[in-house]
Amino acid sequence: MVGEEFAAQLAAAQGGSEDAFAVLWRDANPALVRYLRVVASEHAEDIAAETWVQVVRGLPRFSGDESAWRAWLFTTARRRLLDQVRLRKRHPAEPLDEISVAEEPRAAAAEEIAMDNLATEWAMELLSRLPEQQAEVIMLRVLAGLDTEVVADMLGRSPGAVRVAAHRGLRKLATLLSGAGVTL
Amino acid sequence: MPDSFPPPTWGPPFDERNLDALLSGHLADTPQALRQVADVLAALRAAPTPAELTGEAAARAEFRALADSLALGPDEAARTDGYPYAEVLSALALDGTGRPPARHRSIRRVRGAGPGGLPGGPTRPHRRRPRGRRLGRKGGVLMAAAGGALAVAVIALAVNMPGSAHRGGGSSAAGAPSARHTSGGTTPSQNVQAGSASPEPSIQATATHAARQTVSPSPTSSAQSEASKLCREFYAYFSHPRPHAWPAEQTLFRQIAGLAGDPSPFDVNSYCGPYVRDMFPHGLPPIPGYLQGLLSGPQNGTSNDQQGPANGGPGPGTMNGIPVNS
Repeated sequence: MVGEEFAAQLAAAQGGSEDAFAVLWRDANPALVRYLRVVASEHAEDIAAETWVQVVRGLPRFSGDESAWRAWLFTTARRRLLDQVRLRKRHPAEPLDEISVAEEPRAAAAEEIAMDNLATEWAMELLSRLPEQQAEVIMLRVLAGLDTEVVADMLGRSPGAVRVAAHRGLRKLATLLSGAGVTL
Repeated sequence: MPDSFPPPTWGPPFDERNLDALLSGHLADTPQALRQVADVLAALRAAPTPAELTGEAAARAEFRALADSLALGPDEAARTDGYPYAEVLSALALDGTGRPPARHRSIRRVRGAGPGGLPGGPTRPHRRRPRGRRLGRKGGVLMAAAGGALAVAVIALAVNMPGSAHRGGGSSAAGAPSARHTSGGTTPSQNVQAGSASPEPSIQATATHAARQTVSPSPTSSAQSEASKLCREFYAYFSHPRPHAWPAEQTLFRQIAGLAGDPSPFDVNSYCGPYVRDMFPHGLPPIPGYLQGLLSGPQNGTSNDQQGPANGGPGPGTMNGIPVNS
């Protein structure tokens, strides 16, 4: 979270400051990408990029605090995600020739990066094993930092239903972890 | 020291308050049974990876492009902190040129949302009226003005008609107001002077009826006004693109071409230029090739015409043999 600086950074970004916009972007994009990787694994980066295009266009007219900003960002991302889902239903993509793992291009430090972020990757993998709605609710609550009412509005459900979904998701997560007998 | 074991703990080792605390990020008093879950959530909140920050350049470029396009060119000197970007952007957004595509507007508004439909999202200062209604109101005013002018013309004709004065004089001599009401040549002044109970309805009804039957604008002015109306309606699709406007756009194009005598090739910009110049002070927009090809194709108005661009707006594709998006 940007915190107390948020209002100043937002105003500067709305005034045309690219650096201020970059501060907002760096703060929010990792959470956005993680959320999208859990709910739409294969197109997360594309949808995140589309989301930012949309956000940049609406930035001059945005008003609100950091919580509202994140709610707006994730709502926009969710809409882009739904658009993508609809589009892919209408125009299903055909897979290209299979490329083996060994043939995939890799950066030199890919292994190191992967080791550094193993915990995060594994956490996201665990979350993606939950039912879709439970995973989404937990991601929005934990990553986006949105409260129950805002999440309920985003998903078109009652706050009670959102709370129940989150609790069920956490319980299931606890069950998964105890069953696997693993620690992070 | 008690010689018995403590009573066993029943029920789940954590309750809903613990779960709420976890979700809110309060990990201080996490029960043992939820420790691993807390670790997972903490891992989710971990510092960003380099991969998650690779899109910054693209996002910055998008931001720069928008700022440049709305700040009137890539003049770096103008891009100072004091430059009123917000005002410029807002003004353009109000003007409709900086708005996102209309396909996102049908989504339900959420609680606490601004008028844009997003919680805390961009606020829209006002809602634009549908174009049809605005034109309808304008058309109503024009119709009223034209009707008034015609009524005056008909009354003037009635006054100057040979014999009307004679008939008026005759009836005046007779001194019968009811007879004046029924006579076609009665003048307004006569009726008013006579002080009849309701002279005006009779006059208005007669004038309107006569206007409809006898007076009509010259064909040239009618054609011009029709052309102006069609042209403005057609070019409105370019100044304010709307989804699924494809069939209406085509129909208008054909009507305009018909007014121009169906020339081939038809340069709609030259034909409509005088009528729509005020809508495009910086020059008329280029007409998409698929519209230009409508008249030159082998079959105008075939089933191909029903296929529009996927996004509902003008775009590349095939139409009567000309490429179109599907």
